[in-house]
Amino acid sequence: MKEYDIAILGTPDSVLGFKGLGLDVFGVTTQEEGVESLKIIMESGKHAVLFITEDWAAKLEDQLDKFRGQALPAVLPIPSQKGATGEGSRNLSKIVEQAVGSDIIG
Amino acid sequence: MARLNVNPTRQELLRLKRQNHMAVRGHKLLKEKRDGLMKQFMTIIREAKQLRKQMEKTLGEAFQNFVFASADMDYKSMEEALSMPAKKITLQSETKNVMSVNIPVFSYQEEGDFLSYSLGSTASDLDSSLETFNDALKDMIKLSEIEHSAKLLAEEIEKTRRRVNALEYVFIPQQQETIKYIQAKLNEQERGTIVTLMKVKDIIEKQEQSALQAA
Repeated sequence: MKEYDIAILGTPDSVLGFKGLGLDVFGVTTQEEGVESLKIIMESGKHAVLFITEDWAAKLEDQLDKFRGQALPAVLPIPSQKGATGEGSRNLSKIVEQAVGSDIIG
Repeated sequence: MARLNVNPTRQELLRLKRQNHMAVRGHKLLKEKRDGLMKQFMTIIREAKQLRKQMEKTLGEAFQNFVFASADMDYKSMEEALSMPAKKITLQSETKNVMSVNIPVFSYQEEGDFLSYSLGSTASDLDSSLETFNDALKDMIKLSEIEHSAKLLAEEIEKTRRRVNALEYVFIPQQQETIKYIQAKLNEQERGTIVTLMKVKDIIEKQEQSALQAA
């Protein structure tokens, strides 16, 4: 069985806390850095889970869509220190819409 | 509905009938697969919804604590305190087969404690915020597993639904239309042959009669 790490991507001051928990932290401040880090995470194959703060999930949406078909890592938007923006729930609704045809769980 | 472009022969008819039988069976199976997937999907998505709500709440609190902690300390010393974590998390991923969709099952091991920094140079809020992060992490990993499964299932459902619809509304009607067309054509041919035969018999009978009268 293969062992994986967990990665987290977001603004440095919000994701830094997770460094103490043993996660791979990718603190990014500019769009280019975000795209670059995302590429590294996606192509290394070392990570099974990628947590991404909602503000960055929105900014990197196009890039994330490119990796949608990939089996791993599982990408999970998490609320940032500014609180939940609803991006994560929207993501969930998108999944339901794809499967059922309309958003039935609201 | 357009019929298929085939020759109206008996051989073609037999082939189409066999194919149609297979398509109907496949359609039934795929429909059952779609319903099964949908059932799984609904349970998973409900679970995901609930867990996400819970996770957003705990994580929101954790982030707030962390913001307070980082307000007490400057960024440099914070980075320093957290730069050499004693805690290590490794994740194992297995796959579970649900209706021919491989969904991940994560299990993880924690090693060491996250309290690996000097207590003198860090704010006390940091301890509590890291503790809440640590608690939230379990939910986050579980949620990522569930949401990822939901995503994979959704893709499979979409594919299966397309197949079912293609069979139901295009493939099977086309075949049935063609079968009907070939049968009609063959029947027409048969009637045509009978008429020709009757006509020929008539002509022959007439010829025989006139020969008899002449004699």
